[in-house]
Amino acid sequence: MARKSGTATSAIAGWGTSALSRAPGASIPQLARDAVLAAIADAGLECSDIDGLVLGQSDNLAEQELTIAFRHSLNLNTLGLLVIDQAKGTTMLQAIQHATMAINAGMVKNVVCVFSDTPIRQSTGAGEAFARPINIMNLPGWERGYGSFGAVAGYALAAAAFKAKYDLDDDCFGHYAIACRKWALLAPSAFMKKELTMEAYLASKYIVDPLRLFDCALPVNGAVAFVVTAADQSSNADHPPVYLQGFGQGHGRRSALSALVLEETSGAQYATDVALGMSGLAQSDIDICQLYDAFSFSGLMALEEFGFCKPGEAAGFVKAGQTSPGGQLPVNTGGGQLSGFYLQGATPLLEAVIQASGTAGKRQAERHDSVFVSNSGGCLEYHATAILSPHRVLQ
Amino acid sequence: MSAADIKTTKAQFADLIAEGELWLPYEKQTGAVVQLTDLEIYAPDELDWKHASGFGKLASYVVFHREYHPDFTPPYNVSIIRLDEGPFLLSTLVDLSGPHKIGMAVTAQFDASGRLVFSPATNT
Repeated sequence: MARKSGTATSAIAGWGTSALSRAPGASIPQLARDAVLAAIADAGLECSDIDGLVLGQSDNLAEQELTIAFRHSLNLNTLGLLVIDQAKGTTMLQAIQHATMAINAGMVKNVVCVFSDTPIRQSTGAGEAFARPINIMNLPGWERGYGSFGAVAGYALAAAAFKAKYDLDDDCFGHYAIACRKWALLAPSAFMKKELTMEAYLASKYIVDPLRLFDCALPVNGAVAFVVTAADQSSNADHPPVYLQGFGQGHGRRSALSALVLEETSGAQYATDVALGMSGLAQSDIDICQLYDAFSFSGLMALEEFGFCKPGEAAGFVKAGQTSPGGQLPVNTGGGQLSGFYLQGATPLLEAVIQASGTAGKRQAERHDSVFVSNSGGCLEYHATAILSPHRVLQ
Repeated sequence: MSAADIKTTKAQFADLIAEGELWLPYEKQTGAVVQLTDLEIYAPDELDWKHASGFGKLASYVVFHREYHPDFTPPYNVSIIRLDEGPFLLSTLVDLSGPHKIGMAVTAQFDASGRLVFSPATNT
């Protein structure tokens, strides 16, 4: 189907979550079911209206924990699309992209996309769930030999190289964490409820220097679901739909870490160019950013890689309050993954949908005509993007 | 010789390291050095191996303060070295008696356990 730039073909008509918790409890399928039912009801639809199901699978999970047999826990009719998406941190944006493609192809009309994860279990805390050595050298066992454990290792190495490249101060990541916490104080769904001062930030313990506890995401157990429909479909929801104005992916040859070390680029810019090109917008037209910021450093790097700040200028932009409430570019208005909650790519996508629909309450940004959302994974090697809007046709 | 007998390029590098030798891969066709992260792009007969100079620069340096495994007691550092020939390597910096910062010159050595490690070039 030919697509006119600035005219959306799909919309997110409803969204919902399960209970979100910092303690072990319900299983992956139970949480997913709760979120799916909430999203279908929010869209003003019945289970019998749903003809597509995309299951976003966390790479923390054993394969049998969420399978396509999950559909039997829902009273669904024959499905025209049933698939598991798993692409590290980019899984959820990929899920709504694939739903849109299936709608545009005429396969389906109403697709539910769901992400469910339980990093906190009886035997393991959230830290342990993410503490496997991550692949940096692409040589079997290499990282293990140096004690380079956890996603935090790769991000800390990239953060240190980034900090040195631009000669940034020791508090540079703290300003980002504080800006996110300011938003969290306005967001009922955010898990961090207490003001964060620079003194408290600098007093928080290092996990892997230069990253401190407050530079790291706050994982929760829970599920988030979205109902994707054709853009020209009428909605019975209590709120307007949110239109998908553009989307893209960019999986570069280099992760952010190797790109920093080799002075090359990652795939982030590519993912942005495709999404902006589809929507007919430029970075300067974007009102709000919802970034995948599992570490404070990734939020700063994302602002530069996606083209919202020039190289080396994101730290100053954030320090000046431009991403905070009242700033010129609100970023991660639900507190993001540091102060809101971490459910991988579902976190920024959910907040983008809420802001674009104008239903964000006390934290609602005044301008929300175009919201940029990013998903990233594999130490910023894999990127997916989308641009959401309350308008079906962009003027 | 069956396919199973041909060592992959990753295994060739690992075997050299196990012998206490740092060698680097070059494209046979162009002579260009190959990043170690890209070894699996190449078949064994597409690469030449040359002895590395062992010199490089510290490209990143972090200090673990959390214990993830009993074999590694914090604090300990994990570093990225950009070798003068171009490839980068994850390793660790030893001999921290002097000042150390990103960008400094380092040299390769093998420690008592056979690991490839780096130390400040000024101290060697």
